[in-house]
Amino acid sequence: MKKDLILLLSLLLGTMALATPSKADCERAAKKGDSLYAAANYEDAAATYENILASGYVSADLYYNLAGAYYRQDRIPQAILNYERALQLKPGIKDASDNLSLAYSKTQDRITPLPKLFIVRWHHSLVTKVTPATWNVICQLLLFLLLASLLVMLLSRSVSLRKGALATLFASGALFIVASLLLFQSYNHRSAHRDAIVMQSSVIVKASPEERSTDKFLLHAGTKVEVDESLSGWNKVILADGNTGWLSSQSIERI
Amino acid sequence: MFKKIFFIFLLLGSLDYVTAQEITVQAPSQVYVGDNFYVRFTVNAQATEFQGPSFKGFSLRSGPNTSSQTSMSFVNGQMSSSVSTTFSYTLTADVQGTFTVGPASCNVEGKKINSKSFSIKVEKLSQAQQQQRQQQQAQQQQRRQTFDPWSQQPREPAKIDATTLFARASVDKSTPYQGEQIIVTYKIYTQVPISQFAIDKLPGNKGFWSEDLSAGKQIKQYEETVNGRRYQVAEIRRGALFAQQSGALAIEPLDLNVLAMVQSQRRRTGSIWDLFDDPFFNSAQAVERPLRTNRLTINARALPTAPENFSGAVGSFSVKGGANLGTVKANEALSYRLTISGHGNLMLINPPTPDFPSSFEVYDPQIDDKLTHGDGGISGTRTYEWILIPRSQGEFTIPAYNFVYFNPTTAQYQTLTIEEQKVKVEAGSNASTNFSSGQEVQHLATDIAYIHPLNRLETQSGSINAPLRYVIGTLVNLLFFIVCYLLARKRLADKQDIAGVRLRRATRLARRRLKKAAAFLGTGDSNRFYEEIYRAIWGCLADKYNIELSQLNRDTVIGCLEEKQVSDAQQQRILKVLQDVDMARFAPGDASSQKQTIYNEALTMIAEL
Repeated sequence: MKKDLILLLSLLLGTMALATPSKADCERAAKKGDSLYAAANYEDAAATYENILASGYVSADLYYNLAGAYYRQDRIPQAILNYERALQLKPGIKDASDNLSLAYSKTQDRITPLPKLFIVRWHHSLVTKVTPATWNVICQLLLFLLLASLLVMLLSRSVSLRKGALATLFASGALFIVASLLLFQSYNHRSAHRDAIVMQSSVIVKASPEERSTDKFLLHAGTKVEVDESLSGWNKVILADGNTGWLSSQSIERI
Repeated sequence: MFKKIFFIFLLLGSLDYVTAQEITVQAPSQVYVGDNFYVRFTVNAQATEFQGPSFKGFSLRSGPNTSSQTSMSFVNGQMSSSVSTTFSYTLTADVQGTFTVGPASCNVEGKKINSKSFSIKVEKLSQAQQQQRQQQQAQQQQRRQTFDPWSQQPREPAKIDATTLFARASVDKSTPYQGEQIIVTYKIYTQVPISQFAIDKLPGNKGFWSEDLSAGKQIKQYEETVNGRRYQVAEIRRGALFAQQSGALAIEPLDLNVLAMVQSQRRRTGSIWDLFDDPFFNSAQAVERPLRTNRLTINARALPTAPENFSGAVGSFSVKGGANLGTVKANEALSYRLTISGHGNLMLINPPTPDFPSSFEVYDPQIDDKLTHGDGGISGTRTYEWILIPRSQGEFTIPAYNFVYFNPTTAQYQTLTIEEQKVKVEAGSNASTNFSSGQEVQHLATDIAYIHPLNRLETQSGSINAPLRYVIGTLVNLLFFIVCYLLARKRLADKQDIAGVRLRRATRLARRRLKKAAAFLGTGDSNRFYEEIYRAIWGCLADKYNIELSQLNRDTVIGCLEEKQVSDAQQQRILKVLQDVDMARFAPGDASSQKQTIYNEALTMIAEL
């Protein structure tokens, strides 16, 4: 009973804390940030956008604008991080992907990605470039199709109609399962925050999660890495070219 | 005795003649400026220690040249001889005025004699006369250039040394600006005739851009006075030099070989052959002499800090130009010209780059040089012509072009401007549009796209409840399905129930009709009776077997009965009742007993059904 009360209280407090700066306030602040950006006051614009994010609101456009403000200040790793975040929220923003590739071109490290089998590449882009929300829509449509064909199967007396319905049932069922799997992979990918950006101007990737271990290679700010596992302040990272190593958590920021 | 006296007289006479020794002067009393003339002092004896006067106001070209003459004559068997010595000078009148030439002196048999002083008037020629003279001189010089041994050239001294034959280089400016044009001239100074010359080595002038100005031109010849001596001057080479860097730059000396004609002089032997010691017979001997000009040092001054769009041109220039058309159709060419004319380093100008509108296709400019290699250096025009093809229609402005050059005389940068020009491009024909191959969009610069206006804010948690949404969505879908299924089932069930209702009320309806028929049986209205019986039986069958009224006939009834697996005996009975009713309706026989049996049959049949 007492436990439940505490839980309820903390939940209430949490929602209150979130509600303190209202949504309208934040939208006004975003407008102010845009005008600061327009006036080429990029530092203040970035600070304004960061404040909105700190108060618990997100938007792909907000990340996009913040990244632009950082880019203008020549803070390329921050720009890359926020462009990546914008694209993770809304993968379809063309300006963001264009700007991101421009920002990447300003980084020092040139990593040639490992050649992968086309199916792996497709799977990867289906997981990373399509949001769980989109997958959800696809799943529900497939489920609807599946149930509709089931309905036809159950109720129709016409043999040909029932044959067609059976084929649709199998196809939509298989696709539904695939889409559901992709949905959860996409969701896991995003909630696990596997991708990270190197924020320090140069960091040494170690062979093992210890300060005294041998240096493997040097990375520069703005390079994208994949975090495989974490261990007491250390992250095992995988580079696009397949190299792995350990980085301290402070030097990278998860997308 | 007399003979002796005569001889003495003669001797005396001759002595008397000897005592009348004097110096006679042969000189013109009037000359023109620039004239060459001779002054001769003749002594009618063997003279020694001749001392010539100083020819103040004139320049000495040669002299004194000594020549002696002995003449012998036999008159009536008597021989008389006379000796005379001539000292001759060749002079040139330099300036206008009247000049007095002092006396000359010499020693004759231990006695010093003097000549009288005389004066020469030098006048200036009028312009017309001068021109005439120059023409004559030029003709004369041309003749001389062929080195005609018969030319009327004064005899030159035989010796060749550094004072009679040398070469010199000179420049018109010793401290030019970097890039400024300077003229270097190489000359041969000579007092001996020259038959030919050859340049051994052309100077490679480091730090200069050099252009030959004398190529394909006649060698200029004139006279010049150096250190009081008159020389024939041949201008053998003239070049324009442009210093490419600032600081001390050396102009290398020019090596050349000269073939000088030396008069071979025979020593007088006093023999009869001396008679032939005449210039006419004198043989000229060619002597090869190497010459080298002096080395020059130029101190090139650096240009002051140049403005941004400095073209590199140094000199004096003017520009003109512009587009040839003010209105043009799209995809049709127009040309833009820029003509730079003037005096200076035209060939070293940086190619100009006017700012053409970006929708114009610009071809590399054609460069047309019309340069004159004159004595004063290089001058002329350089024309740049661009072919422009506007690819889209509209009003375009070719911005003003500024040509910046350095003027060494004012030591300042000067700007000449070609005014901006408007070009109207009208819609072109489609045919020519097809001609233009597709062009990729020109990326002027890469920069990030502008910020987006914020359209919607979401709470952080709201964006990641995808699994929840999935579950909800799936549940909603399933619920919808279940509802749909149940509704469909219900409707199907209802549809089946309609038949049931009909079945249930079939007997009831049939009984009601039979009751009606029984009533008609009582009244004896046989038509109405049969009609009711008929409707009762058929309606009962239709309701029982759920047959539409339109399809109600004997055959469908049999079909239905067979389907329901009614026994053959029963079928026979039903068919018999139907037959009986039909028979009774259309062929009425005895009334009441038949009616009663049909009624009973119908009643049992309906009860059975």
